[in-house]
Amino acid sequence: MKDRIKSAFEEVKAEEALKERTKAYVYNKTKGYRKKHYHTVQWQLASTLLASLLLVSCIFTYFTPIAAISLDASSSIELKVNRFNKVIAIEGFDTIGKELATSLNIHFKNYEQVIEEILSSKQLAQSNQNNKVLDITVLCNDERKSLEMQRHIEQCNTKKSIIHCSSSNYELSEEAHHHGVSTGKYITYLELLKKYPDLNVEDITELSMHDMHEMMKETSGSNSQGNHNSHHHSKN
Amino acid sequence: MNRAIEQYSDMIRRICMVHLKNSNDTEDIFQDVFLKYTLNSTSFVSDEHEKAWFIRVTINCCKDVLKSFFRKSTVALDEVLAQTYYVKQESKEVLSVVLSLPSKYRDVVYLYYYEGYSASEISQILNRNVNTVYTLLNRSKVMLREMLGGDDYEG
Repeated sequence: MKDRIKSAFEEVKAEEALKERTKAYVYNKTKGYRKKHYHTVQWQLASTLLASLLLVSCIFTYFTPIAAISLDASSSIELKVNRFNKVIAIEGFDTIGKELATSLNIHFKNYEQVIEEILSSKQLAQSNQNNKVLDITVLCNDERKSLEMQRHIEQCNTKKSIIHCSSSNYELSEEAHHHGVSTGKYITYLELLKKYPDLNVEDITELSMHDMHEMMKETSGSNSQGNHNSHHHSKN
Repeated sequence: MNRAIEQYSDMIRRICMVHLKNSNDTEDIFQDVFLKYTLNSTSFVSDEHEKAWFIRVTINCCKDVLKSFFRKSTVALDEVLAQTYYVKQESKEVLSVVLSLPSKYRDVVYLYYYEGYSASEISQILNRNVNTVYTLLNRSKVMLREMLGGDDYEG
């Protein structure tokens, strides 16, 4: 009996014309609106989430500094550099440094390009009239990267300014900024501290790098090497 | 939507026949059901879930009493069978027996004998007490056996 009933119902079919009219009716009513199926929604949510995570990750990676470059002479300026060698932040630590920082357009520029602009800038030339030497300190925990950056900086010194290049650990920059000075200046201060134990950070904020080097010469009679990684080059 | 029409049209056609609907009402029901489907925001977790949804909605549309005053809600059995002119005579006789059952038995008979649902599944689809479904099935079996002959017995 079950088979007979099943077979009988099996023969009943919807007419093709009925199906076509139904399709046309629904299409006209909904203007082609398509119902999103569960799997489509799932995929869309998953891909949106993934794209968002990727975007956040890219933004985070781009804006995470892995090195800093401290440029110190009469005024101080510091660049933050990401893993793609792009400058992502610039900070001045005195009036001229701040003026220079705001005047530069650093967006998406390589550090070599920005340094070349700094070395060519009028502000630097004016402030450095009596102090010919510019101290450039590369702060990076990766020694290989640090040496590479120093080499590039020396290459972009097209104006042939006299620069002293050195390197140190990145972590010092936080300590330096806490005291309101650039990292290059702070490192030099730490060197001076060995000879002048009573020296405070506030005492050196108004000094130029030239003055600080002179102080070191007076105490030791020679250039101090210090206990951080150094790689000195001087150019005429 | 086209996929759903191809997949469920025959089932909806059969349910309309079980409810003795004429061709115009059958077409109205088709349009209502698939329009509801297209606009429905429910996410179906499986094909079975979707099929059960279609069965429930179609039966509800068939029972919809808000028809035009000038239209009958059901038609005579002969007229229903005449619409399926392509069905073999032997099958028409079987369908005639099923469709002659009181209306409360027909959905249960269709879902049990043709769609193969269990009593418990039928109770969920029709939102009825499972004991009621068992009772309806047992009574319909007796009636069908009397009318169709008692050669085949279900276990």
